[in-house]
Amino acid sequence: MLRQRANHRRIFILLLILLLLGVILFPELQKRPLYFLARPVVLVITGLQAGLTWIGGGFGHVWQNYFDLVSVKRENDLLKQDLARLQNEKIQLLEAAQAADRLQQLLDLKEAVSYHLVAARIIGRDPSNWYRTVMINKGTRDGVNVEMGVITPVGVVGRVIKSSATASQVLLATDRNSAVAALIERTRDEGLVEGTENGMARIKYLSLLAELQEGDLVLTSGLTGVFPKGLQIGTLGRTTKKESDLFQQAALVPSVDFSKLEEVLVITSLEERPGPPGRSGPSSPELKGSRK
Amino acid sequence: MNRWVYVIIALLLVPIQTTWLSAAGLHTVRPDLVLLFVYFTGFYAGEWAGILTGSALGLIMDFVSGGPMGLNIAAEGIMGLLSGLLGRFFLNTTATLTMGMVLLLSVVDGIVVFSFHQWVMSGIPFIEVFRWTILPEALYNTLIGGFIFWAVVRRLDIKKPWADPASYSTPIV
Repeated sequence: MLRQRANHRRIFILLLILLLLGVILFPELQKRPLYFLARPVVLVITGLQAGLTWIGGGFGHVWQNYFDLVSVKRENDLLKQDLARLQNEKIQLLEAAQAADRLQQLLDLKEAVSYHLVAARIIGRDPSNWYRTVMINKGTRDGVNVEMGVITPVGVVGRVIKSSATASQVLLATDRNSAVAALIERTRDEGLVEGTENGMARIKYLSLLAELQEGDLVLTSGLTGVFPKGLQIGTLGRTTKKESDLFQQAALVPSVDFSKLEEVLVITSLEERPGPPGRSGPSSPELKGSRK
Repeated sequence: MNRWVYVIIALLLVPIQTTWLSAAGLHTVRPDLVLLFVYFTGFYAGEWAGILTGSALGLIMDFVSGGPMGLNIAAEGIMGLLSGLLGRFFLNTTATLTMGMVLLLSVVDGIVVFSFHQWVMSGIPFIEVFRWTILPEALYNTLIGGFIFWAVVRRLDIKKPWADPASYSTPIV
């Protein structure tokens, strides 16, 4: 039985070898009889190939997309970080530009006037609600002393009431304890500007004969010696005039926004400082009319 | 609370009050963080702690305030005493009660400061001061006090020393 099977195998192998030799030696055989055999086989194989290629392509596409998404996410994160950084830089640059503008205004004022000025930065405000004061970063070491006037390019801020080596306290013009000698620019009537309880200011002791108008400019009169003549304090608001009173008074809208103070100038001396000829005097015309 | 944390918070209060808190101002009024700190100290740790904390912080305030020296030492010290005395009446408190007591204490603080001003420089109209300073500050303090109670005191479960049964054996000074 086993010998018979072995003989059959040998015959099969022999026939296969003869078939291969025939196919190789006679190319015509490749075209005709094998063609019919090859057709369905190729069909199946190519079908499978197409299927596998499609699956492989699709899978590869998904895989590629996945990797693309991962990289896109990473890129998105980086771009977001860049955006946040650039926005931060933009804010810092805008802040620096605004600071430069303010400092330029201070410098312009310092150059325009003839008295001695020291620039200072606001570093704190009064801890209580009872006083309107600010702390500046200049003290006796920089020549800042008590009873010196403090201004900005816009107008009067107040006067120094306490001074240490490195810092000073400035009583704002809106504090109830503050008093600044003033005059109305148009009528030349003199009065006294003092703060009110609600954080505003008023001008008192104006003559009953004074014909005041809302919006009149109020300037320093230069009488107290703290401020030179002609610095803007604010504009007149509503006037209160009673027959029984000896004087009339008016609300005053300060030209300085005290809630947004950042840098100020301290008048360390009203004496004229040496400088280039042609510079404007202590009461610079730019200050008289400036309404920023 | 850890003693050092307490001291650091106390030392940071006045600088915060004079810088960052300016941004939280409504018109010209800001909450008084020092008063709130003194209130909570006095209420939860007793009148002596309140007086000491109030006077020490009042001294720092006087250094940087435009007012006369001693005004805040006296005012904050008195507030520490009052908050400590108030604390003796209540073992446990609620946010509403805290807000009520902060309101009361802020108004009393305003009246004390006003009285001092009248003594030193007469002629300040009380109605104007009450309208523009005392009342707005008291209302602001009340809101912030309620928030601090809710956010800190309740969360950290801060209790009075004598509210702890373990301390019953030791005498309360």
